[in-house]
Formats: sequence, C-alpha cells, structure tokens
Amino acid sequence: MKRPNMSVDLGRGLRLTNPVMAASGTYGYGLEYEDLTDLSAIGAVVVKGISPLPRAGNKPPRIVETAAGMLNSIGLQNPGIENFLTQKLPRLRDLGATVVANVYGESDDDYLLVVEQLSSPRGDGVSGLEINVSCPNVKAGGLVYGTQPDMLGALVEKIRRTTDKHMMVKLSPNITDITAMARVAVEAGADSLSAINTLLGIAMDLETGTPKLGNVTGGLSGPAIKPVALHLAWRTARAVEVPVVGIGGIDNGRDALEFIRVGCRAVQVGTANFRDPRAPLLIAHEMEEWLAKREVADLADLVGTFRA
Amino acid sequence: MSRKFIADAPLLAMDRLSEFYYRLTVEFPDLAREARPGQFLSLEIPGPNAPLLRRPFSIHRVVDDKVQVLFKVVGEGTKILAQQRSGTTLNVMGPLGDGVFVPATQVEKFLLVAGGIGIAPLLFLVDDLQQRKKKMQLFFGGRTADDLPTKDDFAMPVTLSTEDGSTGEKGLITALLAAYLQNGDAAKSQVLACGPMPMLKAVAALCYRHGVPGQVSLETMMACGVGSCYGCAVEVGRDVHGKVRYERVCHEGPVFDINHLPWDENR
Repeated sequence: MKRPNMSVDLGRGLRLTNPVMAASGTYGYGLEYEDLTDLSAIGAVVVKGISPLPRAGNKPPRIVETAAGMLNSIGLQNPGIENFLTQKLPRLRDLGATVVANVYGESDDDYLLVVEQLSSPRGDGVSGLEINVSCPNVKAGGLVYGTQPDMLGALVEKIRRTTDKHMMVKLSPNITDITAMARVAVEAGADSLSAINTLLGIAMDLETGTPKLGNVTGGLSGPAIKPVALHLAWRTARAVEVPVVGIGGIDNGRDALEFIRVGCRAVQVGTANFRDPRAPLLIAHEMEEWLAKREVADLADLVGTFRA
Repeated sequence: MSRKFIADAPLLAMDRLSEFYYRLTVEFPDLAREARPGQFLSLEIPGPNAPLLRRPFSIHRVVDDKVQVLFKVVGEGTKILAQQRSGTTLNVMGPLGDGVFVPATQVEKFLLVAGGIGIAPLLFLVDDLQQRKKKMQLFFGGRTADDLPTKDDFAMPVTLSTEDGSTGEKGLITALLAAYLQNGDAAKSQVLACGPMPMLKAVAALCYRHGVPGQVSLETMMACGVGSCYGCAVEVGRDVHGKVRYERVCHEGPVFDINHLPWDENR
C-alpha cells in the first residue's frame, strides 16, 4: 500500500509533516509531554496562550466534566513571554518540535509586544503565531476582539505589520456569523484561520444552586462540540481563500478527516490529549491508514470533498 | 522530577476490600522503579461508557515491578474500574506530581493522618519511612467501618474513628489528633496527611497551633495530570503585589507543605 502524502503547507513558513496539531491550552508548552511522546513528530505544538506578563488565572474550580465534554475556565494562567523565550523555547527547539505560539493580550499593545518578541531573533524556532481572539474566560481582550469586527481588523492589521511569521487567527463560535469575522481577519492579513475555540457554558450544582466553576462560566470542549465545530469550520472554509484549521471535539482519525472533507487543510486536537497525550500522533496515523486503504495519494485530495 | 511513562499495563488483580473499596494491581516496572511516596498516576477508564477524562489516583504501594492503587467507588468512572478483571490491561500514566512527601530528618515521630480514601498514599509512605527506623502513629478516620478496610496493614499504633461509631472512637479523626497534640506529645513530630479538604484544613490548623510541621496531599479535579492545562490549580498565597497565586496540584503538588498554603488564619 502506497503511503499518502500527509504534509501540509499552510503558507508563510508554516509547514507541517502531518496535519494534526496539538491545540493551545491542552498541551502546555509541549515539554510537559517530553517523556511521553515524540514532540518532533507532531504536526505542530500550539503552545498555551502567552501574554506579556505572567497571569495568575481564574479562581478554582477551573474544570468540570460534562456529557461528552468538559468545561474549563483556566483564565490563561501562563508564565509570560519572557519565561517562554528563556525557559521553554530553547528546549522545544532542541527537541525539534514545530512550534506555533498562541498569543494573548488585553490590548493591542499587549498582543504587539508578544508578537514583536516572538518575531525577533529570540523567537527563532517559532514557526507560526496563533492569535487568540476567542478565549471566553477572560474579562479583557480575548473574546472582546473576537466578537467585534472593527477591533479584530485593526488588531490583525497591526500584527501583520509587526511580523513576517505565519499568522493564524483563532475564531470564536460565540458569535452570530463566524464568516464575518473570518473575512475581516483575512482582509487584515491573516495567513490562516483556526476554528473553533470553546463554546460558552455553565455547569451547576443543583442542590446548592451554585456554579461548579469558580468563574461561573467556562468554555465547552470535547466530543460534545464536534457537530457545531464541523458546521462552523465548513462555513468558514467556504467564506475564505486562506487555509482553515479545524478544531473541536476531534477524538480519532475519522473525526479529523471529516474536518478535512468540509474544507480544512489541517486540524487541531485538544481535549483528546487529556485522555491520551499521544492523541495527535495516533490520530495522524489513523488518518493516513484511512487514506492509504482508499488509495488517496494526497491528503489535499480530500480537502473540500464534502458533498453537501 | 520523575520521568513519566504511559503504557497499557497488565491488570494482575482487582481485590474488593469492603463494600466500596477496591485495590488493583498492575505490572508496570518503569513506573514502579520511578515512583516516590505521595506521587500519583492516572488511569484511562476503559469501555464505551467511560467518562471523557482520565482519573487520578494516589500510588498506594509499590511491590517489586507491581504498582497498586486503592480506590473507592464514588462515581461512574470508579464503578467501571471496579468491574475490570485480571487478564485485561489498563492504560496507566505516571508517576505524576513533583510534590512528594518529604519526611523531615530531625523528627522523632511521624504522625500519619488519613480520612477515608486519603489512606491510599500512606502505605507507600510507610514502606519508605520504615527504613528510617523512626516512630510512627496512624490516625485514621472514616464515615463508617467500610472506609477502614486497610487499617490492619499498618504495623504501628493506630487510632481509629468513624462518624457512626461502628469502629474506633465515634467522631472525627481530627478530634483525636487534637487530643494527642494537646497532651504534649507533639514535640519533634511531623504530620503527614491525606483526606478531604475540610479535614486537611483542620489538621493544618492543629499543626499551626502546636507548632508541628505538616504536609498534606490535596485532591482536585484534573484534566491533564501533567501540569499542562492548569485546571487543578489551588491558591497558595499572594505575590508581592497582593495578587493571589495559584499552583497546580498535579505538578507542584499533590503534596504541599502546610506553610506553603494560605490556610493559617493567624498569619
């Protein structure tokens, strides 16, 4: 059986040996998994959101399991850009990981500060940036940008002028029309779009009438959101010319291939990593097997073959 | 920091110890070699009706190449786990957690305190402490006698309590620990505890009051178990700007020194 071509070029220097990335927030800075998997074999490791300064994160409890999914309200706890550049990136480089840095800020200047650092020689080894304008768990920044087209457009334009690195913009599902935000991001210079971030939700303790999360609301992820994600990825892919990276409830190779069929060029695997940190590699392998069995020569041949 | 491993480990035994308590034994030489008392592992619950996330469990004991987990059936995940039989495999990841029990060297006596399933990590700790030839005493409390099936595994003075009075003293184990410390036996002791959060806070309060050093093993909901998701964070005090600081139970913990936690109301 001939092996299909699994490599994907998302443009502007972001080339993946296979289409499965580890999604931001579910794979730490990669190094947490150094003992457990071969980081260099993963399509790309999208590291946890990086802000200019360390962030403490939200009040616990921060996670709760729900039907076929989970809610989280981490609140972007992270050690800040300086720590990332000095303590995490050198090791990731040594290990040969393809790194996409997820960038978060509360203001334009915050985003630009992080982007500048990552785009300087200190950021060597970072193959792409994922702009987080869709985190539902923070009061400022995040989703505020992801729901207001003018703010998003202005931010993406500024980032575009600041960096030559690949810029992926991560879209929120918590909006009426995802295609409007998709178009704005692309017109402002995004090289690719990733869709979707988590869906806002609540979990309650009925007896006490209190929220199960310290932050009251959280972001829903896991298999429960896959149909929603597939729909929004499909709409996004039809709305723009740039590559779309599908995210949302992908648990196995078949799930991932459905996202390819609706028009995604690559995927990100998130919550499945919690069940098995080897998920990105296992899923890539399952995709390859599926294609080989059907004698599909190139993953790209499957892109957009959803017959709706 | 221990090296972590993940593998499908042969399940050698699933022993039912009381109505709700089980002890499982897996063969996992790498994990057995690397594990330290206080660390935990995570298991993937098998089968089509399994919950989404892995389940974290204290490492109960290491015997040669084998690792044991003591667990109580409390929900769907542990119910499915209890139905597993030897001959199958379980996906096991570990050892996890950099925060292990650190027995003090100057201490003459270790006071082990457990509430219910909080007994799980203490046997592994005792195996380690025994080599130091120090005195030990166990304070072990539960709701009912069903919570104390492993009480005879501890070759040391054991003080028991149950809330229903079915075994040992009627009441909370912290009351018995309080009485013990009140009697002036606290000097040159160290408390090592695991149990529900209210119990651990009460234990810590006694330690603060009597000037006894203490370490507690915390339990929280977890997603990743390896420090990547920051979902299991607990408050550990404030930074210089007065902002709350959080650490990960799965990474900086699960065992914390009581002086590292913001539990002392007099400070």
